[in-house]
Amino acid sequence: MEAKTENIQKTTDLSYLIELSAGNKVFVKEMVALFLSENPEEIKALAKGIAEKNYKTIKTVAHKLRSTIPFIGLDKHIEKEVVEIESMASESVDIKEIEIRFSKIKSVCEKAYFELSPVSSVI
Amino acid sequence: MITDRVIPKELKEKINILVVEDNLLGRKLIGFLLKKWGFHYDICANGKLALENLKLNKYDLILMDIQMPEMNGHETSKYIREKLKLGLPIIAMTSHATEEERKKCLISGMVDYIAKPIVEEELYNLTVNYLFTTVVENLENKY
Repeated sequence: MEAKTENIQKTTDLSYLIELSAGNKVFVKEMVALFLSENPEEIKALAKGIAEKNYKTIKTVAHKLRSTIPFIGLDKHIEKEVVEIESMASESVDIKEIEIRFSKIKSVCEKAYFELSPVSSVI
Repeated sequence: MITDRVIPKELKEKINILVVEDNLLGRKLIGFLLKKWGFHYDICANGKLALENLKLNKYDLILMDIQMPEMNGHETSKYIREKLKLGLPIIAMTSHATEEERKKCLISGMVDYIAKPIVEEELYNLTVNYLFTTVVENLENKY
């Protein structure tokens, strides 16, 4: 029963955008569309940075992600990991530690993408 | 609590704000709010572009992201103060809302800072309060 509840729980939360825009559907839809176009690129860039052990890229992209995720409520799920990656990249720590955190970030962002894709055309 | 300072509509229309932000979603959000509040604004994606804008246009306030490609918020603010000799208020917008970051912002020439994600009321209060001091009171003193 618990597992079933977890399955239907949403990863994304648009309440920040809805509240800030006083329910302006056009604005929310545009922000979601921007997220859907930007986020996969950020994830790709982060994966590339990790594969190449390019700490400067990792730090830059992690920072970018940190600014993007609160718009759709993903900060509740992955802010800790994103902040840790940004800080780890500054200290050039073991790439495996970054990979562990990236795995969670990627999975949450993919889930968000699939949740928001239909929303973007419906709102 | 929202500031009780009110900028008259006819004055608001003359105010020009420069937003410097590299994040596309961030730019969209700030633009939406400034438009909603009735201010004119220009938006650019990094410090270098901000300096180009400043050479071409007159602004009353700058909302400045910190970590940006090409030229970051600290470098840009220093340049604005030291080379362009401009005294307009520069408000930092940063994800690193720490005391250390606040000090760094002040040293670079910024007057204040706001933490991301942006809370509308906080941004409104900061923007209106600084504009009130630099634009509205200045005009009132002239007459």
